[in-house]
Amino acid sequence: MNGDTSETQVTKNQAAEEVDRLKRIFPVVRLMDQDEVKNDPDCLICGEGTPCMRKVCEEVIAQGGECTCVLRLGEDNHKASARCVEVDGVPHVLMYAEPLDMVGERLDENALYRDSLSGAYNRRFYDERLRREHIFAGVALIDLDDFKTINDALGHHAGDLSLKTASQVMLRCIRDTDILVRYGGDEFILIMPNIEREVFARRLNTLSELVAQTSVPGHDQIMLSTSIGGVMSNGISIEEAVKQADRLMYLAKQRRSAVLTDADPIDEVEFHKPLLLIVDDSEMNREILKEMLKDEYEVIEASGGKEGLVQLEQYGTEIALVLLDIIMPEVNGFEVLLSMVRKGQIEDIPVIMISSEDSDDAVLRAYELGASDYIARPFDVRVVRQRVSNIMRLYVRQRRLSTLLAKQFHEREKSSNVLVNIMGGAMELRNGESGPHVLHVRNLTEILLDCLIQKTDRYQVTSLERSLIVMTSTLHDIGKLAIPDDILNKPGKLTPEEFEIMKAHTTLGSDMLEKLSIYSDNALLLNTAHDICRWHHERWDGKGYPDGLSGDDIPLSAQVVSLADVYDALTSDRVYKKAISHEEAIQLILDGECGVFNPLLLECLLDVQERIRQEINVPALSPAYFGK
Amino acid sequence: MSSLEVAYNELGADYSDVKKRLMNEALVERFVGKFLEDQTFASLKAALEAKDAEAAFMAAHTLKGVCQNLGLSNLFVPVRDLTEVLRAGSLEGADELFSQLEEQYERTVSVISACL
Repeated sequence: MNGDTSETQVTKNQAAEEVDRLKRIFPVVRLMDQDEVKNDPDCLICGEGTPCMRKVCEEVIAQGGECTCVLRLGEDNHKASARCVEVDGVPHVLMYAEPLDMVGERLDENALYRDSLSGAYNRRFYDERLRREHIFAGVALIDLDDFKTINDALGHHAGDLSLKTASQVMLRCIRDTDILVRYGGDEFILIMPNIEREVFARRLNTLSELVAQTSVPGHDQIMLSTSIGGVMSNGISIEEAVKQADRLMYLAKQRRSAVLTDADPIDEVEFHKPLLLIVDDSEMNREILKEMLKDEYEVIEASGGKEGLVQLEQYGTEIALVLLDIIMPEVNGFEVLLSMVRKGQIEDIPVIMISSEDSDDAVLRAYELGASDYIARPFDVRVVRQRVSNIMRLYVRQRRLSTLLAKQFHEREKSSNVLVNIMGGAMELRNGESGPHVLHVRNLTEILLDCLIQKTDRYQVTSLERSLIVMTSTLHDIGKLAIPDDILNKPGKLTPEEFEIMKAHTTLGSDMLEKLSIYSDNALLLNTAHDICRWHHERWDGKGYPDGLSGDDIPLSAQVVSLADVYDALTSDRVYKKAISHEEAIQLILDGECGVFNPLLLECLLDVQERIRQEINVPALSPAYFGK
Repeated sequence: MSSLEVAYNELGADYSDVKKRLMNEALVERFVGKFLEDQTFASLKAALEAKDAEAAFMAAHTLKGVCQNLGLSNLFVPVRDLTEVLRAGSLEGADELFSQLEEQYERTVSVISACL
């Protein structure tokens, strides 16, 4: 309620003078006491088709002060004001109205109230002119999805352009009497006075579709989209209506549906409580967490890692968040996390680890693997709720980011992967190796690397590096393309001279990749491939070739591929030898008969024996690239 | 003071902590009631009798978490010590630590069942 310069306590004569004065400015002016307000047969101003001012007037008489509404009078929208005045000690309401476009024009003159980027009204306009108003209107909060992401990933220019494009679309498809305000960075408020609930919802949907169909000039990878919450204000203040709309907007974002209004049935909203998976072997702990979270989330439970993985498989990205205990019998929390990383689920489903205060190292390792946060025992209900809701909000944003950027990236990665596999296949053809050596090395590399990452934090391997090492392991022997056939596929032992030539496949491969990397924007991929090609015949004790590197001077990528290469060479047929069994191969490697390796990697080899036997040594599951 | 709070005080457990964390005394009571039926302690005992250090560690670790969550600090201390011994895969000294734990556990169960 605004304070006003006019007197609030006046005599009858003064009141009549004020009415006359206002009548010169406003087409409609009325002065009424409480009974007149109550008994007026019309809706106080003009009758049919107009929202009733009676409630507003009664409030003004009862509470004093002033109130402004937007009303439709005949064909035009009017701004109507009601002000409390005491005429000879009796409370009256003084009401007057003027066409809204007059108001609009007056405001337009004032650049103070325009947001220069979007062309909408600015926050100041909202704060000074709208916030406290009681307008009968549909009020929507519109959030432009991914604005921050676009800014971060593609630069501020692209961000600004997206915002401008979206607001232009919105401004074009609203009515003259509607008001669009840029409320925050990527948030708009839309006020649509005098509108039916259904029409309001329909218009919001149209608006959201139109924005989605629009592309940002010069940035066709950006998919504009909005999340919109809308409510009918029904006489509450705009500020209050915006608050309600904000809640619906957030729900809309969670449900990944574009528009949600108060016309949508509430239980449908409830029905879509986010799904939360608790994986913990202790029933008590699950129960306590469930009790803390059941109001906001639909909780499903798994009593162990294995069951958790099944649930993840079954529900997929319907699961909005996982609470994951670390120490569990059989399949533990790390293994669940690793599986989520391997399947890419971690990109879409955030994981909060459950841990005790005594396992800092475990928590750190979990973070490295991609966990979002952790909750320590003993559980505190406020901490649990806050952490879960923070991560959830973060991931809702991030999930949308992945659709924007990951789509682009995955397309590229897929193509790279195909090309890399073709190269690997070509290598096989040329080398005359029996069986799918390249594919085996790739799988072994992946298994060993995952085990190592889980075992130790000595090597900082990001998920990108991890996937690049696995992918480019297929290229480890690419230099062999330049080795003469009679040496490469010689059935017997190589002479010392021939062996020297053979050894050169490491440097031939790496030199070729080095030259390529000058022209490429994918330096990390080529660097990884380079390291693997050049150093996959180095030895931990420094007695390998071509550079005689030792210990961790040998890049981790090359260390892992080296061990994978040796293991697979032993367990496969070659022109010059027969395959030996898994057990014999392991024994030879451990005895140092086939080179010297990082002891940690040897530990890994032992740890993953079962997986290797299952995934590598079953011929039916690993067909050769070219059906040899 | 609720009878459960009296029981906690008698045990040397921390009622105010659990009340503060769960923010609901009825819930505390419900979960403590469940604790009496919880099989983790029995699994721990069975694992130790079978000399299965790994299974014993899992059970002890779980029990430790439950004690923490319920503010049963009197039980937490012996179960933590036992967990740390078992974490290393060793059973050395486990029996003695277990008998301390068992004594506390039985006391806890009897004091709490009396008041619920």
